[in-house]
Amino acid sequence: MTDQAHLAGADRALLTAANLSKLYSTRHGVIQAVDDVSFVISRGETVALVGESGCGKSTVALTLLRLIDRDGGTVVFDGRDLDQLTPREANAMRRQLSIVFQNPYASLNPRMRVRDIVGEPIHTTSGVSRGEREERITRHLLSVGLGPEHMDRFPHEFSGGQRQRIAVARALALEPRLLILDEPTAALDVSVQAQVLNLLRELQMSKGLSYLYISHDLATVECIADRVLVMYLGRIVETGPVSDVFTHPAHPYTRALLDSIPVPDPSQRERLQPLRGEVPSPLNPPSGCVFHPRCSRASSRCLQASPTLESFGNGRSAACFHDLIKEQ
Amino acid sequence: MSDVVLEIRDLRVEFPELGRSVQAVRGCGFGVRYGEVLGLIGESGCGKSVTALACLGLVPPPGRVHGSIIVDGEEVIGASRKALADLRGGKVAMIFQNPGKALNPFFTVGRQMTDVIRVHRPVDRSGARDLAIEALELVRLPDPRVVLGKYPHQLSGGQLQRVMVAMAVSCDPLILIADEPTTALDVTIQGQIIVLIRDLAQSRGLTVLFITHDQGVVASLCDRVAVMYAGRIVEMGSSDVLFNRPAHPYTRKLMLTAPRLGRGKTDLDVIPGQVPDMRAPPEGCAFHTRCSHALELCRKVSPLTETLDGDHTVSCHRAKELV
Repeated sequence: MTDQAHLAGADRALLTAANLSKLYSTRHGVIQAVDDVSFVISRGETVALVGESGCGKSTVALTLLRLIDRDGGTVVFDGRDLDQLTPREANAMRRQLSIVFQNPYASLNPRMRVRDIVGEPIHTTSGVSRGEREERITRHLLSVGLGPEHMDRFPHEFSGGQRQRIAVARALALEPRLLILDEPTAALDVSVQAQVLNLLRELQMSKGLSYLYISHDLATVECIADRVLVMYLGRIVETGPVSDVFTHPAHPYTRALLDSIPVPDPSQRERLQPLRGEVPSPLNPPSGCVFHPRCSRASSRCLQASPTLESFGNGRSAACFHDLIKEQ
Repeated sequence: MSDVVLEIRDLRVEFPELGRSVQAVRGCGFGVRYGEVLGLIGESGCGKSVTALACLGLVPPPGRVHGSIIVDGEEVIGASRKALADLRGGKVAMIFQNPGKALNPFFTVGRQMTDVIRVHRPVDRSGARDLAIEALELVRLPDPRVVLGKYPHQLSGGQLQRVMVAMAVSCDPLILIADEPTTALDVTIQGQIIVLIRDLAQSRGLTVLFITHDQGVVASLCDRVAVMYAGRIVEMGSSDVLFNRPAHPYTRKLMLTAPRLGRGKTDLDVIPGQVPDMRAPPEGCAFHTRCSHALELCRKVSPLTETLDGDHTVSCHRAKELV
């Protein structure tokens, strides 16, 4: 879906997250893992959430699913505020959101057969007959490219790519409308990654799914996502349509992420410009703009004040005092 | 070929199982020249890590190793324990995919580094400490003295991988074998490690055998590339040639599966099918089951390695007509 369609109206919004925040208290102090994060996912749209390890992207996913409780903000799914639901309604709502985790070697129970892995969510949530359940399991496995001959096997009998297909089939078991993909290809080979990404695109088209795609690899984001949210140390620093953001990034952090991707072309070797330093400790975040210690453009203003996320048209916004787009 | 510092000839590694044994490496051969960065690329299970372990005599039991691996003029396969002890860490150092698992969580970085240094170099404790600090400076870790006193859990993944590189170069090895050292790291940190290894190779003339499945990493780091499939090298040549004029159908497909920026929201190319089961590898050319150009000949006869031009070699019956 294009960005115009996204702007066409809030009624197309499937999920609206506003001012999410999550604090973790540790022995050494309080960590603000997610700080005032807001975004919209439209029907049939893929929104990518990108950033380095520890920036809070997985925490956002877990709060949406209510696998962990958030400390602030609201989540509206399909027009209903998730906080206002009765426990019964909340359970029904949960079926509409599902997740595929990063590592299919860890997310599948090694002692369960494929039939039971995919069938368990159906069994626990709906009182369908055994025959109906079998029929659904077969259908879901088929949709991810696995046949009935795989039903009675255990996870260890499959390759990484096939395991991730099983994980996708399990996530689809309850016919969700929003699928959260938490780095679904990070543990896979590049050649297998291509197969899984193509499968996800295909499923989206045939089932009209919405995706929240979490990754730190911008090259895969480009081939699957419509819009992108760039996160750094718990905050969103840039958002917009993928094609615009990747060709003309407005935030130096987005630029730096793009420049750290190794290009599969030896003649472009010198273009690899890794970002210096590492993500600072969230226990003791830098003053002002949290990105300033690693930023090539940081000025005295960046050390003192924290920029807010400002919209500048075309569905884009960025949190930076410098105007990278004008400078280009 | 006196400029070859590591030469592997007809390497075969099998792991016996109850039924059929797994033939992890099936006649792999290539040479690494002094001072070059050679990329060894292939999908999971193609035998690239086992090949690397064999270079250090580290294939775990019950693995059986045949063939020849010559490091700096000395045979590794069947070498004595003493010879292997000198080789490991001394002549050939290795870094692994997960730096958190490669270090002992109970000892400080300093203790682990100085232990290694004192095995291979004639220095006392304080001399070893100086060398460790020097090595940590070389890999551009800030505050090396502070890092020496830290335990592995107190460092980030990127810092730990730098410690591993520092430990590897501290004994001044001829060859550094890097087995997917950036796969577990963030893209930003991966870039830093690539640049670091590139600089070390240039400034110290370090020979690097770099194992990866990521085409982007190979392109940004390696001088030459060897492509491995089902336990054999199917194509080898300079990075430029392999990325721009790949001759083997597998290499061609593999290069296309890598996502690259600027293509937009499109489907990616895929290699149909699966990596073959190495308990029963296909007869003939192992790739014929997934190859769109396969002939009857490919199903029966395993192709020989041919030289196309210069040092570009390929094992495919149809390479010359398909180029």
